[in-house]
Amino acid sequence: MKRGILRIFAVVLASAVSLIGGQKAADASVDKKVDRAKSELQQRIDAAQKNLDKTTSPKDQKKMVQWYNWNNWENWDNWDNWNNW
Amino acid sequence: MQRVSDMQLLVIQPTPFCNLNCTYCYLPHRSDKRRMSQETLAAIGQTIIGSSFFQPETTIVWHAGEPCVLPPDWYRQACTTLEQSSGKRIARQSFQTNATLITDEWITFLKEPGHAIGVSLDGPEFINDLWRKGRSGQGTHAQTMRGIQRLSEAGIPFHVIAVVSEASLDHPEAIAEALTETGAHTVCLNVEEIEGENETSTLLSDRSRARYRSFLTRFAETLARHPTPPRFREGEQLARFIAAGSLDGKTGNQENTPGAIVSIGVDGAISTFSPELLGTVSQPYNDFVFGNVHHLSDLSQAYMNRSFLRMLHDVSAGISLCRNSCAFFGMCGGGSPSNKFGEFGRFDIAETAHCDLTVKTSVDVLLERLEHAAQ
Repeated sequence: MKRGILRIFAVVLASAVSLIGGQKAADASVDKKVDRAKSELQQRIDAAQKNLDKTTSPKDQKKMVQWYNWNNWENWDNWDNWNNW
Repeated sequence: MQRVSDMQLLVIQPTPFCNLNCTYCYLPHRSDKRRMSQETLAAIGQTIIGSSFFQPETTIVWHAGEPCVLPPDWYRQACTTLEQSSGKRIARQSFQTNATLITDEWITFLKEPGHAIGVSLDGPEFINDLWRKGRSGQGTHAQTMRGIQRLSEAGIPFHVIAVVSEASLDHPEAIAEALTETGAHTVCLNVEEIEGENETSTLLSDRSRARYRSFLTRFAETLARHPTPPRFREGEQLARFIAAGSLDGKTGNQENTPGAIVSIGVDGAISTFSPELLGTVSQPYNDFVFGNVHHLSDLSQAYMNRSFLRMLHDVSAGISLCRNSCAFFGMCGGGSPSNKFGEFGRFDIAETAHCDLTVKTSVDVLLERLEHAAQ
């Protein structure tokens, strides 16, 4: 019980501090050059995704997306992820 | 906003000591022969593993020193202590090793369920031994290959991580072939980083980007030509991202999400964010120590520590800057705190030399390969 209350308090406090820290930089507007570069990159990703459709089954693609969305604990089964660092 | 996450990795430093003395190593205390006490392990069980942040899927990584300098029986006892003191089962343990100390006892231990191993090897002898040296300055390639041979003969799967330095850049084919010949299931490339005790990198020259680009292209081509190529971590990461498909989804990564990785030093010091930060000196952030398992009753208390909150504030500012200034934000989620701090001494900044190479250049090269494959 005490641990649960501590957890809730710690998570709320950290979220507030993170929000304040992030807000400072978020006030700056996004550079239009970045928007353009992002759009070009997204086009390349879309083209590559079509290639992935040719070589990888929908089931395997679903697994890849689950691996990628590592915040999703229900699906998280990532034995290798630690060697990212 | 970065939310405190459930724990994905728990990095425990069984000892700071390493039997090698690699030139680029970031660990400041690698001559320190202390080993973690049973009391500290019991406190980790109570404070960290017993907390609600530790999940059944959380992996324990024994690292930040050479884990194999301690015998397998030490880890068996450690695991028993962690389980008894926490009341939870430890399902997954990983070891990142230089493989020079792999014995029959280690082979038996590594065959037990739930154990995984990674080996550090930079390529063929003439590259590996430039940096990966023993305590007397001798090369270590032959010793590491003996350990790899033992793992292979025993049928134990392993991955290899190679550090890419300036000396590697002219030899992508030789490195790819050497890593493939180890029989590893996955090969991973880490560029030489500025962090911890390693205060400079050989990859900082103006030409590094173009040379790394060429290196990576030729490295990937060499792997692809092999009849049974190993998995390539960097390529798989990109493929997974492409399967997910959008640059608008990601808002963080393991290293800049508080709590996703928790690191515990040999004395019980608690840290989070990049594991490499534990042991790095910093007065404003209290050397990245946010508590000690001997003094706290629950991990939540570390997340209310003043130095932690200060770091979280600054890391969040850096992530926002990345989001506003970089087209690749959706892929990396705002960079690695240890690289930002290593290169600039602060967290509220955006691009680093490390992300220029490992994110921008890597994505460009590997995406280009996928685009060409589509034609």
